[in-house]
Amino acid sequence: MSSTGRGEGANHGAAPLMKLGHCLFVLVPGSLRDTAARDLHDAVAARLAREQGIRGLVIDVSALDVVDSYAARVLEETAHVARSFGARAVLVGLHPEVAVTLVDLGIDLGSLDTALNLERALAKLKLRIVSEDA
Amino acid sequence: MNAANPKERLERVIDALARAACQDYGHRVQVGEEEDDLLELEVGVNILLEDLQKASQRNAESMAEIERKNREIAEQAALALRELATPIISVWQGVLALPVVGAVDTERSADMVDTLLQRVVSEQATHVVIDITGVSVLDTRTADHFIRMSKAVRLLGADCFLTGISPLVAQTLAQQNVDTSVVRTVRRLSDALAEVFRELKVTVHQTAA
Amino acid sequence: MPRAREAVAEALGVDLTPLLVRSVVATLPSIADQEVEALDVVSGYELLRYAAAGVRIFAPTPPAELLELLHRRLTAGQPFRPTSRVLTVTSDADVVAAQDAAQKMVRGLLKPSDCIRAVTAVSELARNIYLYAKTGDVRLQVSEADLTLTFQVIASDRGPGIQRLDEILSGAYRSKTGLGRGLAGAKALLDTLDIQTGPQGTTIRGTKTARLSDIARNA
Repeated sequence: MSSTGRGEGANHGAAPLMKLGHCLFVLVPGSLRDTAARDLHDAVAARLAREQGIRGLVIDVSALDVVDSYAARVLEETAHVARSFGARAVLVGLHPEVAVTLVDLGIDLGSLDTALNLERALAKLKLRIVSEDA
Repeated sequence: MNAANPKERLERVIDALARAACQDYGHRVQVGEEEDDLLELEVGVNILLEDLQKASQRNAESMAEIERKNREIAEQAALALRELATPIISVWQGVLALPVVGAVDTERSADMVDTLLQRVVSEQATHVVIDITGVSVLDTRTADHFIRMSKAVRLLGADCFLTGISPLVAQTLAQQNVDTSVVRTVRRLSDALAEVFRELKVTVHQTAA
Repeated sequence: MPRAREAVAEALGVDLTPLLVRSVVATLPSIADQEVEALDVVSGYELLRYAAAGVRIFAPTPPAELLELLHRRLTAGQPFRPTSRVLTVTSDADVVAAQDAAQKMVRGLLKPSDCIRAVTAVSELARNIYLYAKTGDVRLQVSEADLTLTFQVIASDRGPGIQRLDEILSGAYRSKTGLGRGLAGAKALLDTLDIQTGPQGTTIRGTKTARLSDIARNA
C-alpha cells in the first residue's frame, strides 16, 4: 500500500481532515490499523506543511472504543508533528472507559491536551469560529 | 385398648413431657378409660402439648418471616449503600464534588471511577473535587486509587482537585514515594472550591441582611 | 424440548406474580426462543442479564437468589457450555480482528470498563505477536464455574521468546521503539497473567472474571 504522497491533493488515508479557519480537524476512524495510523500522521504532516498559519489541531477520537499503547503512541506522535509546525493539538471525545484504561496502562498522553467537547477544545486553543451574524 | 395400671399411665405422661422438653410436641398421651384423677392429668397434658405444638408452629412461621424481612432489609441497605458509595454532588454548573466516606477497596474505587467519569461526560464538567477526608484507611494503595481517579478525570479534559489529605498523611505518602505532584492537592474542600470559582471567574458576595 | 423463555417464566413464577412474569418474559431478547440446551455461556449470561434487568424494572426489590434460581433452571445446576474462538495473527489487520472478536465476546458479560480493559489487553498481546514473532495465535474463551464467569485470552507464538521479562513486567523496560509497555500494560489490565517463554516460543495466558451477582447489579 503506497503511503500518502506529500503535497498531493487527495488524502489516501482513512482519516478525514478538515480545515476551518486556523484550525485543522481530524476524525480518527474506529479501527486504527497500523497503515491507517501512518496515513493519519502523514496526512496531518502534509497538510500542516502545505498550509500557513494553522495554530490548532483538534483530534476527534470519539470513534475509538479501544486505545492500546500503540494507538496512544500514534496520537502522541501526531501531536508532536503538529507542535513541530507550531500548532497545538487537543484531543476530543475520549471515551470514559478508554480514559480509565489509559490510566491503568500508565500512559500519560504527554503534552497532548484533552477537552470534553469541541467548544472547550477551541477555547483551549484560543481559537474562535465566528458566525457571520455575530 | 387394654387398661393400663396407674404406674404405666404415669410413665406415659412423663414420657410425653420428656419429649416435649426435647421440643417434640407431636406426641399425645393415650387417655385412660375411667374418669379418675389420672385422666384429668392425661387430658391436661395433651391440651398442653397441643398448645405447645401450635405455639411452636407459629414461632417457626414468624422466624421465617423475620428472616425474609431481614434479607429484604439487607438488600435495600446494600442498594442504598451502593448509591451512597459514590455520592457525586453537582455543586455548580460544571463543577462536581465527590466526598468519599468509609472503606475504599479496589472494587469500590473501580466503581467510583466509572460513575464519576460518566457524570463528568454527561454534565460536561470543567472541574472535579474529590475529598478523601472521610476515607477510613488511607494507605499507599488507596491513595494510588485516588491519584489514578484524578488522572482519569484530567484525561477527559476536566480539572481535578484532591482534598482532605492531612499533613501527616501527605508526609507518609511522600516517604513512600507516592507521586502526588501530578494531582492538585489542596488541604480543604472549601479552599478547592474557592479556587474553582476563581478560575471560573465567579465571585460570591455577601449582601447586607 | 423446552424453550429458554418457558424456563425463565417457570423460575420467575416462584417469586413473582403471573402478570410480572409475563411482563419480564416479554422483554427477553430473541435468544430466549432457543432451546435451553442450545444456550452456551455467552447467550446464557445474556439471557440472565436481560431477565435481571426486566425484574428490576417491574419488581421493586428483586429477590437476591433470583438469578441463581434462573441459572439453575437453565443449566440444571451445571455450568453453561463455554465458547471459544481462535484467531491467527500475522498482520495489523488481525490485531483489529482480535479486538473486534474480543469485544463481541465480552460485551454484557463484564462491566463496560472491564470490557475495554479486556479488549485492550487482547490488542496488546496480539500486537506483540505480530511485532516480535511475526505469526501466532490468539485464543479467546469464555467459561464459567461456581457462578463466576472467566474470560481468558491465550496468546501463543513460536517466536524467539521474551528477553528481560522481569524488567518488562515491572514497567521499567522500554524497547527502542517504545513498545515495551504492551506486556506490562496487559498485566495491569487483566486479573491474572501467566507467561511461559523460551527460545522455542511464548504462551501468555490472561484472564478477567466477573461474578453472576455483579452482572445482576450492573444489568
